[in-house]
Amino acid sequence: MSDFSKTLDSLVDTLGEAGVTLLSGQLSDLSSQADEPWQKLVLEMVAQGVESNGMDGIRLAEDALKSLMDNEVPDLSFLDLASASDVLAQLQNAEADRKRKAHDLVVKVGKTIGAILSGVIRAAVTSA
Amino acid sequence: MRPALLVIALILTGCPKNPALVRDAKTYEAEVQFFSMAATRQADQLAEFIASSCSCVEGAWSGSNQDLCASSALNVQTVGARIEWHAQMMRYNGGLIDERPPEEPPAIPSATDLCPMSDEARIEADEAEAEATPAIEGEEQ
Repeated sequence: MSDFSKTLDSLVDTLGEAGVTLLSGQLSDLSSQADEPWQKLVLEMVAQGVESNGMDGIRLAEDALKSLMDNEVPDLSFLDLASASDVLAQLQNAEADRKRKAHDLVVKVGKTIGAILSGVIRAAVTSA
Repeated sequence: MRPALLVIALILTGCPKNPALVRDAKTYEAEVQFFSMAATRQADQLAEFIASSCSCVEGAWSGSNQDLCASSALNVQTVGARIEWHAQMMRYNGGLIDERPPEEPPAIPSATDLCPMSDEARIEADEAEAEATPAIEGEEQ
């Protein structure tokens, strides 16, 4: 959490000590479920939402995160360009990962089909 | 054989929640280039605005339009560092290129790196530099 403590400190004015403690706890829980870049991103989104829209910003961040989790297009207009770029990078990497997995599967299946076909052809040639 | 191929294709592609779009590759590439160019040109103009209308004191934006200067600088730095990476990812995910860009996008430099010095700070820096520069032999006399 030390990486995020600076950002959390900046939220004290808006959320109050209790709010930051609560958020800090939530992020600690989240860290056991999510990897570091996503955790950083969540905090970034909450921090920017609060910075630009006060308490309503938490709702904006929550909506954007829900959209991300539901595989829908998130509204990132409340973020600054650098943070929006971070979120977009995560989305693009996720798609690239899926593309790589799909490609690997196609290659594997292609090899298997090739092996089956060559076996069938060999058997056909032998029996002819 | 054709029904079997169809079944294999269905198994491989599945039924995705977000179906893939089929686009004309050349139009898509032109769009990627256009949006990259638009962002880069705007960033160049913002950089000119920062240089001509913004100033900093001790590394912090100052003056009446400091908020605009700060956000403009962040946009300039973000576009400069990231636009090409995002464009390459669009090309890769769109199937226009085979080589995947590095997973980690380039770091965005601090916006205050673009801080132009205020006139007072510039004079002070010039004076400090002059003092630090050793006098050329012969000029001392």
